[in-house]
Amino acid sequence: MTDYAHDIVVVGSGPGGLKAAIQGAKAGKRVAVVERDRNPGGACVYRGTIPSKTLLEAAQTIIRLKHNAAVFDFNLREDLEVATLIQRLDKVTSSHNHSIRDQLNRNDIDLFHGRAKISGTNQVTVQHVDGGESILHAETIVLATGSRPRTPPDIPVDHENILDSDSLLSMLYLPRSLTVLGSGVIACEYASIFSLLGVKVYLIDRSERPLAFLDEEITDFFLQSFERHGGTFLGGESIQSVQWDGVSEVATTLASGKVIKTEKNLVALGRLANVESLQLDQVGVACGPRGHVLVNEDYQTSVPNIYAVGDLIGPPALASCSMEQGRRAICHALDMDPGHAFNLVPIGIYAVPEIASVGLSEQEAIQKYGKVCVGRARLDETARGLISGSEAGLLKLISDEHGKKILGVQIIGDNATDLIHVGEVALLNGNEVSFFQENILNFPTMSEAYRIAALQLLNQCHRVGALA
Amino acid sequence: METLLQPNVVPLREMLESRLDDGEIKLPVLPVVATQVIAMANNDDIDLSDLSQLIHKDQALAGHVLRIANSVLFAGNTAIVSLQQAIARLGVNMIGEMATVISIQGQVFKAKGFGKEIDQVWKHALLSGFYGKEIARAMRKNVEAQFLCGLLHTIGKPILFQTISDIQEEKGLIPQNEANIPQLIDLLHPRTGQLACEKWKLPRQVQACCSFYLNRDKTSEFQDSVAMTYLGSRLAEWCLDGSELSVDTLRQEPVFTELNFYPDEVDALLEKRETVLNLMETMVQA
Repeated sequence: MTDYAHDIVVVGSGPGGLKAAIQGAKAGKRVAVVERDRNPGGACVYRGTIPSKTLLEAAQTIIRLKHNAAVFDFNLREDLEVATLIQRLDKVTSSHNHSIRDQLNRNDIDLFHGRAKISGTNQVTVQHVDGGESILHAETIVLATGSRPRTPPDIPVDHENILDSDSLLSMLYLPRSLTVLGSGVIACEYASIFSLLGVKVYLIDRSERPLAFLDEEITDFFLQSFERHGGTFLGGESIQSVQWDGVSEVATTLASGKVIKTEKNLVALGRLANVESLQLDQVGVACGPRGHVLVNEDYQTSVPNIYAVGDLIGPPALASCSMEQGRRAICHALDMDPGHAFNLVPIGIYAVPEIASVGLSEQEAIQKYGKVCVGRARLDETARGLISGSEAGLLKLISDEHGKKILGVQIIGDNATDLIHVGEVALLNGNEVSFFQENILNFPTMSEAYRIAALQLLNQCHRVGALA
Repeated sequence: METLLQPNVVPLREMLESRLDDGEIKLPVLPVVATQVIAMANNDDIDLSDLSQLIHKDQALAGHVLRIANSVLFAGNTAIVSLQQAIARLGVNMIGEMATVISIQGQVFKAKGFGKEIDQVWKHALLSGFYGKEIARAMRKNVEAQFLCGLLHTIGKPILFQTISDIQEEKGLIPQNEANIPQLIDLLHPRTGQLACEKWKLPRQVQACCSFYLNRDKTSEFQDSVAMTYLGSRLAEWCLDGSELSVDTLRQEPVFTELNFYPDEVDALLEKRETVLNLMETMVQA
């Protein structure tokens, strides 16, 4: 057993942990990162964000080729291997791995491969994969161990017929049919992607609409697209049992009496924080009822020199937020100014079509302000959308009742997750709706939708004003 | 490896390599049942009765499947008397797996004069397939793909035994139990397996495992699957009767670290030995 002394030890090397480590190193501190897996990067790189987006990219390419079938004489091969669809994944993850290692090296951050246990308020014990141990001592400890798919105890996930989001992409072939349990981000992303790939998909959840935290018009739009591609959403349904029928299908029995039989079943009923091996109770770090580590606004746990960031502390559990949380945790630990607190978080959902949101939804805005104005632009009706043959898409601009203050932007359609940043910057700068009318945007671009939505919103407000 | 070969085997090696180079090695046809079962996951047109009919066409195969279905490991309280019943009881996947295993054994794992060797290779392949499933499950990877990789990773070996047997018959050159033949088989089977996989149009993942499981650093894709196949192969070797591989040596395998198995996870995997052996025995005895 060897002892090491550092200023900061970060447990986990996903987006939050990595950012915390780099922030600490940039401030001149000696930093160590402990990573359980072989390579740094976290579930985001190897099991989550990057693999699913690689599959999405393949699905979107297929849609474009289908739209141009006359030019490419395109047909989806019947014996298409899943590995073929995500064949770029190895290159993407390998490049990402190199890039992360490079960042760690450049910043003189020590990387320890092993499972971490918080053995004291200033001490982390690392069990290496060969069974050896190291003890790391540090003033500050940052926990960023992420999360894993949650398997309800009554659903027998076997990674053969009943899968979770970790084992889903290692299927040999595309299944003929797939039931997806849940209607959160991961469930909707995979349901819509597999549906686009020709798999008969059933999306089942207890909530009446998928992605219930989003603007209702946007989720309606998503459902229409999902059903147009052959998917079926069964909302307001409780799951009674999920069983491999021992023959050829997984039977999902619902409380309503319906039985859905499909070749495979994906369980996407949330994620669990990876806290167990940390043994936090031994040092008094408190966790909430759902297993998340409890933190204050500076990401301090109940033990002041131990911080926690990312999926470990619960929603929004976005890679983008985790990075910022990691940076802010270190700023607080080192008594540095982190800048203005962020209260505007853009959300990106890499489904088909892509969905993005920033600020308030129409329902939230009405709830908060009473009256609001809404401008809409169809992405597929913009010149750029027509040229590229975009699938149907919608941009919603939501403002106060006077058509001035922008309250939120909601987008569904091609490149929504990029397009949202224009709206985010306008919100951050406090620009009014007229900003999009009075300034020049490139033509033809998808961003033109902002101008169209702004014009519609302003016309609507003027009409209402004239009538009043 | 090369320097270990006795001089009297070199001509055989040259003959085998020349046949591999010239594409003159006789590759068996992948049994129809195996082709259909592998394709089944992806074919809307195949249903339960199709599989049943397919197996029925080969009486010996049907008999084998029913014997396995009625074995101690799988049988319930009532005897299974029909294939439809077997499929209903054990599932398409299991029956398909059995049919694939049996048909590949019957058509590929045979070579006159090498019965004992082939028998060992066959047992090892089955154990590798079943252990592959356990490894994949532990890693939260899909288990069905790994079964196929394990089962077929040494498919080049029986083909080479058959080729040597053919050469012997044609030329009368090689003593049947030449001591260094196993070394030659070890050396050339990945390449032979790769040729078979290409001919049979097996999934790329299976091809990579056949070609690279002994040279993991040479593959640019499916690294995890290739490493899992190698580990399955080593665990299978450990399970075999008379194996010289001790559990302590096995624990030192760098592939455990490579696949990120911590000591307690290695223990859990080693504890699957009896389960895997039972499955193999059931398949072999039927």
